[in-house]
Amino acid sequence: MLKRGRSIVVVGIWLAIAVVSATQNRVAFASRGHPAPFGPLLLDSILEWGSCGVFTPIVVWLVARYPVVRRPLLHVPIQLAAISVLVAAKFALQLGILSPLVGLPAPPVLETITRHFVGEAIAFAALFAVVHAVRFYARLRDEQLQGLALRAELADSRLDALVNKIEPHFLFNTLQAISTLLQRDPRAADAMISGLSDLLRDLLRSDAPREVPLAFELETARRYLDIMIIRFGDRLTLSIEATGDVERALVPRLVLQPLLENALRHGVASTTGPATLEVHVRRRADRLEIAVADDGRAESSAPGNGVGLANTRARLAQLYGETARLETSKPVAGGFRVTLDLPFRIAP
Amino acid sequence: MTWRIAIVDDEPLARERIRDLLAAHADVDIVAECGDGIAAVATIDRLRPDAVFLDVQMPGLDGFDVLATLEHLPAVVFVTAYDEHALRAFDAHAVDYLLKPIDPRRFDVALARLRARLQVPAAADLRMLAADLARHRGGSTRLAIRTEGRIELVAVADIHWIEAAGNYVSVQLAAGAHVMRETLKSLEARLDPASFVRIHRSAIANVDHIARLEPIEHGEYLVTMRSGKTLYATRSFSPRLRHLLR
Repeated sequence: MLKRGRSIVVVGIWLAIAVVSATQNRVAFASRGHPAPFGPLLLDSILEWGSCGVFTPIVVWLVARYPVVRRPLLHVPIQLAAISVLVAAKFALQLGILSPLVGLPAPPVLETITRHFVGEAIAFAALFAVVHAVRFYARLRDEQLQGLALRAELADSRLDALVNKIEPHFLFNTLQAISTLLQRDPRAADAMISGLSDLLRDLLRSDAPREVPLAFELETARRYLDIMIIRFGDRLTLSIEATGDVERALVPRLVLQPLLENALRHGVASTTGPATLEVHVRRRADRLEIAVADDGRAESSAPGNGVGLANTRARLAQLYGETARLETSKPVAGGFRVTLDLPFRIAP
Repeated sequence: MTWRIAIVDDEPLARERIRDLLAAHADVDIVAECGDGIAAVATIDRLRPDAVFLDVQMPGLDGFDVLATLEHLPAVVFVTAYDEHALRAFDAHAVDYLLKPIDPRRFDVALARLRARLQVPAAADLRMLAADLARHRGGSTRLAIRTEGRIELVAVADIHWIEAAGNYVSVQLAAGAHVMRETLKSLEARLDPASFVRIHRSAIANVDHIARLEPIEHGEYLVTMRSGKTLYATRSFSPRLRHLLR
């Protein structure tokens, strides 16, 4: 219903109307040569307008329950009927109950209703209109605020996406490896610097389309994995298999990156022994299947398993709707396997 | 005097980097290199080096888990690629650390500090650092438990409850119990307080493994675990338990 602060404002408005109305009556009487004391005039006005004002909460409820913008063919007649009932109730309250109580003369209720119905109905219609306007304004402001919040959220997520493309651990550990190689094997260090630079260029490109041929993604993946192989040495074995005409198939840009990072972080890097990472891509009729699997020891409660995959799921849903799927499985032999199933399409 | 040093890092090239940087210093002797946390705990406790260069991010036990598990505490220089929480904790406990890639001049500074600390032992309290870090990072996710010459790695989420018995604690898992030499209090400090709650002077329960609570009397509760085992929560500990389960 009405909050306390608002109730005070509403009462204040009705009182102000009563004071203005009483003043007007006083001036009118005086101009006709019948000066009247202000007190009784004010009391009369308060009864007149107050008996209207007490129905404000009902009007607020009616407007909220039957707003005219929704289903106007039903709600407009309901509100018109409500106005009629309220006019009758108002006069019954003012003349039938309040006026006799304070000892003011009161004309018969029914007769007054028939004589003053239209004027009073217009007053109530105005009240309905004001309540509608207040509600619309409040909703407009809410929507504007919501819009601002949404926009801020979107900007944040874009920023996050940008930052997440380069894992700080990856970057600094790679630089550490390069600084070692600089002393021991300058040519290898050189090659690693070029590899890292190419990879950073791939990851930082801001003009790339949302979908790219798989060949591009495999290239980026190889650059990344080449660096990881140098870092992890003989602990990491790698196999990439892309058969048939899949290299021209369109896939979301950087779709492999989070899957490879996950496999390395939770699979390869969290086992202490040697580990294998496999990427398999194949076409099945009009579907493209991309699988990334590791044979690491998947711990029962490995933390952080969800974020990368959830992001990938969200991206697939955004790009392909219902027609793409991401599935995970834990092979009996150990490890973790992520399979993407996308519609097979070739760049035009 | 020659200082005996161990290097712990899961990447071979990262270990080589530190070995190269140490090569310029005649007063150090590299006694061990370890590629993962479990090997590090075993090796450091066996060889008791004076100092360790300890990588923070590692498979299995990470650098902080190693620190929390060691019986022999050497002087430690942490080596980290990127970890904001850790850097704050290192500063707070005056422990030296190196950022990857390691700057040779900064490395020499760290080594000079290490020598100073080795000559005046026990400056920084590494156990407090470990507890502090556990708090910052919402508790360890893994626990290393020594049993008869081996070190078992346990996912903290798989722990049902923990009971104290003298200087030992018994860590209960689905598969059975592991006994480790540690006080309940120091173990509690390493666990995430959002999941692990003291229910008794000598018991901690993992709220994720609690099936139900039944009030008995005098504010005490009967705690039934999902495994069917029942424990008691005494009155002084039950408010926090009720709060966590609400």
